Amino acid sequence: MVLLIPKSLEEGEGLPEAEAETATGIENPSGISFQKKLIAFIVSFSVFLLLWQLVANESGNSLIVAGPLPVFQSLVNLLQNHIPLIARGAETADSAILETLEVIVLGFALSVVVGIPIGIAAGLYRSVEGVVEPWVSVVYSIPIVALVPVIYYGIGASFTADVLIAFLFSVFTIIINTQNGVRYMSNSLAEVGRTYGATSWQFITKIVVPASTPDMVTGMRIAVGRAILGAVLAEALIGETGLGGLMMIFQATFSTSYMMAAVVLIAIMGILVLQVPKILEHRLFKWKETERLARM
Amino acid sequence: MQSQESPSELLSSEPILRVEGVAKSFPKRQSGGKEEIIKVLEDVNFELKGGSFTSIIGPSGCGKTTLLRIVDGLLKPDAGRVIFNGEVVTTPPTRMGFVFQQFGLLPWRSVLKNVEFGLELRGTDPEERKEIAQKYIDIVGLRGYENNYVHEISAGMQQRVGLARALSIDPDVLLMDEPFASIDMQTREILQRQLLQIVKASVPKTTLFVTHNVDEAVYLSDEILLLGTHPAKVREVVKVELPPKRWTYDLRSQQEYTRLRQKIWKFLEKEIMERGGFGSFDPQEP
Repeated sequence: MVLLIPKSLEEGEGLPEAEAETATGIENPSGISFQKKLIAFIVSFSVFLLLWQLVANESGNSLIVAGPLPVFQSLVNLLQNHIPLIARGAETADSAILETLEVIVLGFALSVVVGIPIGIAAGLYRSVEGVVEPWVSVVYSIPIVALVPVIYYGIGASFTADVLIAFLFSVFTIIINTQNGVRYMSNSLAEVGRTYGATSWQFITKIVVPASTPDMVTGMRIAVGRAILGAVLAEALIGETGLGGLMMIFQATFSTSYMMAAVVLIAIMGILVLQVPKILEHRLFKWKETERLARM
Repeated sequence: MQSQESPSELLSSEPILRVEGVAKSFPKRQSGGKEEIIKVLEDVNFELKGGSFTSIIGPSGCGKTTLLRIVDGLLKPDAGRVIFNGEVVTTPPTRMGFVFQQFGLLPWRSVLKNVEFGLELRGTDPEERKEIAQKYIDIVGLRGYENNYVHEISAGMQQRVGLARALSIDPDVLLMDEPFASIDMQTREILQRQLLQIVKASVPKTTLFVTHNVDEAVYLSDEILLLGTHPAKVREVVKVELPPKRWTYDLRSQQEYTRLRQKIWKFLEKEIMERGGFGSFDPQEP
């Protein structure tokens, strides 16, 4: 909330952390913004750990909710490939991470390759929009989880099925965002293309794609998250492979702290994977720099 | 109507572009939900002589921009035709350059890449197009800004990029749609002078310039087409017979300049009063 208040209105009050930071007189603005973010993160993370501990104390049963410390211990064990005896036979953590990562990357890549052309076509042509839009609404409103058994019976419990589900989870986000980017592109840019004699292909590659790249990347950012969700879900529900599978095995064997450690691993993976579109955004959109909101 | 008039001695007598009986209507939705057909242009006729600078002036909203878009082949006229270099215009011709009111620059490209745009679409070899683009960047006075993004330079500079882009494809006719309308007064005067120097001396061009600014029209033009409203039609062609190389002397202090300015403003005032919904309001004569 505080972030949305223009600087002029906020003179002299604002976040105490922010005040302290500017008071240190650091000249480098990116250094300041990084420190602000770091402090904000540390605060929110501490609050989270505290709440977690409170909930764990309240439940009083480490089989239902394990506290942060046992989960951290289990995470360290997991990463050293120490697995509780009862869950013996489960995959080692590193191979599970690798497998889940593969599902995410492939599912997401497929979404990009399929979703962007469809999104562009739907943005440019009413007829394509007419075909795509109802399906997008349908898939958005029904739980895709419901499709998991269908896919399971269709192609069996396989790596392909996992990838397909990760793809289904993420592709529509990419289609919708790309379509929006194209749809709300300024018509004057289109006219520049026509005036200077762009062919249809040049129009798409030299005007439409660059003009809507910001929306495409926004779509990709959300889609990565959904691909992770889809991958873990598919692994948990069919075949019990990867991190999703590991999670299920630990749950079935009452190794609650390990199960939660697997969830933490998934979260860490999510944070790391989500950095990719951010880096992309930063590199691609230097030209958008001044059009952005000035933040505190 | 203008064919009977003798061309100015400065210009070649061969028309490079001819607009014949162009008409255009647009459907407009009324408040009741009914659609009404609004006639924007009716029987518009004029021609451009090679090397001339012609302005189209008329009250705002009279259809000047629509006319220019038809000339460029961006819009199809309901009736009539545009003949450019002996051929009927149906799509934007490769030898016409267009300068947009809102600049129409591609924000993800640098100045250099924006100027190269037209050549790039034509498949000009990268080395060559860079050379050509650089030449026009120099002509419009933007050397040193080649690698800046559009948002990093001022509005006046942005429009100079727009001009360089239009010139770089070596057009036979340069179309300009109120190019300086969104630029501040002081910068505008300098840009007008630069434009005149460019299209009359550095790289001679036939220019068709749309404006609603009387001073601008008189300062720049050899001929001014006065467009009436509802529907727009060429009511009169005003010849501006002021000495050439107008950037070398103080044109605005010339008697002829003042006379033309008044004449055109009278016309515009009458058009706006009569047809612009000002009713019976009767302005005092000065």
